[in-house]
Amino acid sequence: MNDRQFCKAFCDEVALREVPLGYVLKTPFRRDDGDAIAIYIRRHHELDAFRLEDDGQTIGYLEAAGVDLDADSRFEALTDLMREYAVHYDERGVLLHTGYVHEANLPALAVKFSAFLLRVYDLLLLARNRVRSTFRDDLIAMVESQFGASCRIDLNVPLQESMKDYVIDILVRSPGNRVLAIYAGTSEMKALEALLFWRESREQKVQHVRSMLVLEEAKPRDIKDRTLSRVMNSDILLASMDGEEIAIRRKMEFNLLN
Amino acid sequence: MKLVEVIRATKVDVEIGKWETGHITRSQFPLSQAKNKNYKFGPDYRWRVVRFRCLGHEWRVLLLLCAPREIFRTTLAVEVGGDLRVVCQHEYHASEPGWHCHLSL
Repeated sequence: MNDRQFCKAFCDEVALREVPLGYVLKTPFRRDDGDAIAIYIRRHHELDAFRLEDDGQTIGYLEAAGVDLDADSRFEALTDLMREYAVHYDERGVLLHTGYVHEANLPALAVKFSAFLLRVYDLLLLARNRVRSTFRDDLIAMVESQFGASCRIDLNVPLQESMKDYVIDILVRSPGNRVLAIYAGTSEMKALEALLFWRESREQKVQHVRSMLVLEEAKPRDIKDRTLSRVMNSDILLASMDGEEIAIRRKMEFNLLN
Repeated sequence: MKLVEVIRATKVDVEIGKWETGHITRSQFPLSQAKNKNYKFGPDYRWRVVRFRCLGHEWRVLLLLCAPREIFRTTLAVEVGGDLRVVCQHEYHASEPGWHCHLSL
């Protein structure tokens, strides 16, 4: 083992090219879309100094992927990182950038800035909708494995024509025409949708359907206590996924097939 | 449906939007998972949206250009129930060796 091999692994992919703004440095690190993380080097002619910038898309990329930087703790996480790495955010230019330094200090700064950008991309892992999407997918997979062979399963459909505005996440119909309308409790909105559907079913005297709201965890952060109380006080079946998969399967089966 | 069929199909009702600068309004390219009203881009970025119909679907292409950094990207998306689903991105940027495509499988 020698340090040259490690050095080679780190440096083989590094490349510097000229662009109208200055230079672009390709780092050996990759984003989750497979492209290398790139650092742009802008020259300040009067100061004869340089600063490092992202491509001007990092913030937009995070927000488009569901990270809500305006509203919650992820913004705090970003500002903590910026403080730690002495990086600034130019709101008008939508740019993350360092201060200006002399050319001799650029390589060391580039290593630090690469680490910063990598950690910023890790904020994606905190994107709530990514977690929600996984939970919803897990729930669908569980329902399909439980009832796929014996029942008809539809996703994102209304129960019937007279309730066409009430779209249900997972609709399971048994051969005996009993129906389970399952909502993935990923948000306040979903819990309210389940409540509205339940009330409309009661209003229209629909007898053969049970509504069910499945939560990811017993104390959901995104659903207000009052809404959850209303669900508990209704006839909606309430279930929580955290470690209770077998019990949920049993509950679904009991209410669908009995 | 194969991507090559979309590329080869005859397009109708083609609307080519004007080049704009900076933030992209979400109504121009609505992706439900994005929370904000705009997709944030600085004044270095220019963009335009092209709409068309083919193969029984509505499609949009977002063109994004950042000349100072030599970044160009086109994003093809199909409308599904008021939302857009990204199909692929064809792009060039100086940090990669050449033109390449990202596919959403």
